[in-house]
Amino acid sequence: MNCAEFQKSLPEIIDGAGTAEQDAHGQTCPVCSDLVRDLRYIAEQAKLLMPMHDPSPRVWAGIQTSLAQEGLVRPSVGRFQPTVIPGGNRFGTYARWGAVAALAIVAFWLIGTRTPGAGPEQPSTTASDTAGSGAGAMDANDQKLLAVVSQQAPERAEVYKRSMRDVNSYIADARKSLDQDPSDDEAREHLLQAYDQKAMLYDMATSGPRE
Amino acid sequence: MTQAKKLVAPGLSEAEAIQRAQRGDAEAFEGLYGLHKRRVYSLCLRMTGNTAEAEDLTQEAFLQLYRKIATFRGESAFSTWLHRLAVNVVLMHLRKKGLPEVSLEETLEPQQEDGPKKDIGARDNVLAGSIDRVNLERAIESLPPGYRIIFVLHDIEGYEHNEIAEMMGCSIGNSKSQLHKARMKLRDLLKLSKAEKAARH
Amino acid sequence: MGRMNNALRTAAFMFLIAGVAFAADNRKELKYNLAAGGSLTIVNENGPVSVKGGPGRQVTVVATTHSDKVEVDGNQYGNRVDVRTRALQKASGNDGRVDYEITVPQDTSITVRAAGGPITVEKMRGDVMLEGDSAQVEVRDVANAHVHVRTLAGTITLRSVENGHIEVSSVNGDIRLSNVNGQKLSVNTTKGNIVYDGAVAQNGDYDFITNSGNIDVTLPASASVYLSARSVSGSVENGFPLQQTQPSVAPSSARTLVGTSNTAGSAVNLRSFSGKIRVKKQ
Repeated sequence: MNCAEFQKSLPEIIDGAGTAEQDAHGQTCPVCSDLVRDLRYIAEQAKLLMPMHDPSPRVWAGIQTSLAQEGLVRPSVGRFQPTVIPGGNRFGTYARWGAVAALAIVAFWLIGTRTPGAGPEQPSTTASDTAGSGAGAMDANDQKLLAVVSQQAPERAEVYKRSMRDVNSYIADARKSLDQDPSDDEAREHLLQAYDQKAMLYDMATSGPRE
Repeated sequence: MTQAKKLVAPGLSEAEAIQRAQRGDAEAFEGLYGLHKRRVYSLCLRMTGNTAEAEDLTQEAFLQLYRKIATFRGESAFSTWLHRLAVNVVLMHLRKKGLPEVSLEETLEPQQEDGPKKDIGARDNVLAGSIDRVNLERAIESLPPGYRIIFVLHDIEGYEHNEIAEMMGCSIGNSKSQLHKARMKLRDLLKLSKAEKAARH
Repeated sequence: MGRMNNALRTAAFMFLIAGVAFAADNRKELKYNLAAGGSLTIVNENGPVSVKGGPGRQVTVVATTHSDKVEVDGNQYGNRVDVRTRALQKASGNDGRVDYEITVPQDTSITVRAAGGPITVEKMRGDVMLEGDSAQVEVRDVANAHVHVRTLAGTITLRSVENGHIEVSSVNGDIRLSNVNGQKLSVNTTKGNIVYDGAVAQNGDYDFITNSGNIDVTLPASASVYLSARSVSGSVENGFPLQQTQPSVAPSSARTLVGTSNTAGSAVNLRSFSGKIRVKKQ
């Protein structure tokens, strides 16, 4: 058997289905044995490849939007409340961090649901002392969220307020950079990251242990 | 670690989450998404080689999962079922875009470009021990789409040739042929990468 | 007679004080049995939570309250234990505080929400999910587990975490990782600094991202990494022997570093928007 004949049957040989004659050639011919070794090595290394990347938070946000549009799901109150009932669980918390848009919408809706009367007469955190101006400025949703935190856990209002400002500054910085150069992938990555942080903050505010 | 992977969340097994999702529990579905998103997305990314397409296809795969999960009867492992579903979503998408750039109807005859003849009588440095994950991922990304799909399905995802042939609508022989060519092409790419690396030092 | 009255008064006072102290510091011990794969959830608004893994199948929760304005409620549902602090009336400061010391079977999955903290977890082999607003969080000697931690302002410290799937996030808190490795390590913060010191797992995927914080990464010379660092408006300093793959990216090269070491087995991505990134050799 020569090299050309041997290499014609390579797929079978790689799979370990070679004939005795082919095996004999493989053992004596360094070129063919290197080839077999390389191809087997590639196949072995490929089997070791792990899934490496998570999809962007946009994917989950898109799924939620599509399901909602199809009327398949609606946000439920229970998903953001600590659960004590049998079988209940606060799972999915971490998977949710990136679902920025959905989180904001649901948290906003939740605030209105869980705190009747919260809004105009916000207890200790008022629009004037939270909204501010500049990069860390807060929108109406942010202020409502802080009002709820102030009402339910006043001692923690300050840390939420500071965090909200910092996250909003992060969003503003990244957005400004992206506006200057829309092709800047780094800025885009930072913007998504900043929104993830904001989603985390909303989630923590609405899933806390206040009872 | 193995046990951790089977849990959708502390105290909630994947089987329980599937049952809940089948009853329309959105939270359970979210938990399943969290558990499987990485592998499904990686599959889509490796098969398409394009981030935006991979994201769209991941979304479509999970939407189909949500619509079809009530039909899952547990004859196969859930992950197997979901991955088959995801593969079909990707293949459907590629068909809509047009056939893969490499024909599936090529024969086993070695070709000038991809066949093994070039190795006859020429001994190169062997690859063994020199491949790292990053280089291999890059080389796979560089494969022509037709080769890449078969390679990903067989060598990474672990599908058998008969399953690939069924999914792709080709013969088992063609699947084997494409896989062999894909490995040969990868070998060339990895050797090139190795040579470039050596030249830099 | 007067002297006796005084003695009685003193005794009565001491008794009263002791009684008040007894009423104020109430120690409650709860015990449960969990089978393999069980889970424990602790929710405590105010006060420290310490969880330690140990042999055996018993969960022991020692909770100390400091007033009668709060109570500790523990329940078991199948293979899941849920313990939480309930406020009976408005309580703040020390009155609302409950201190938890918990031992669990090592393979238990634990979830702790303790807003004020601190939270300490050690010697665990099950999943660890921790959350605290301003809580300082420390995790040490954990293996083969998912470790997810998030805070708003508290410093997060992970030490000796082996083969973990790690996701750590804080808005303002610093994040310190020492001898932490696993296939997945995702660290995110807005203003906090990130400090990483230790080896890198083979085939790992490490992402460190901060807005204005600094990132300090110290690796052993034997680390096998594909390292990519970029600061949009800060700086990048490298003291690690990398084979740089893009040395000629002139305009932003001071803020960008891409290179490999050894067989580049793991991907390490460092991103700071405006902070400094420093890569050093151990």
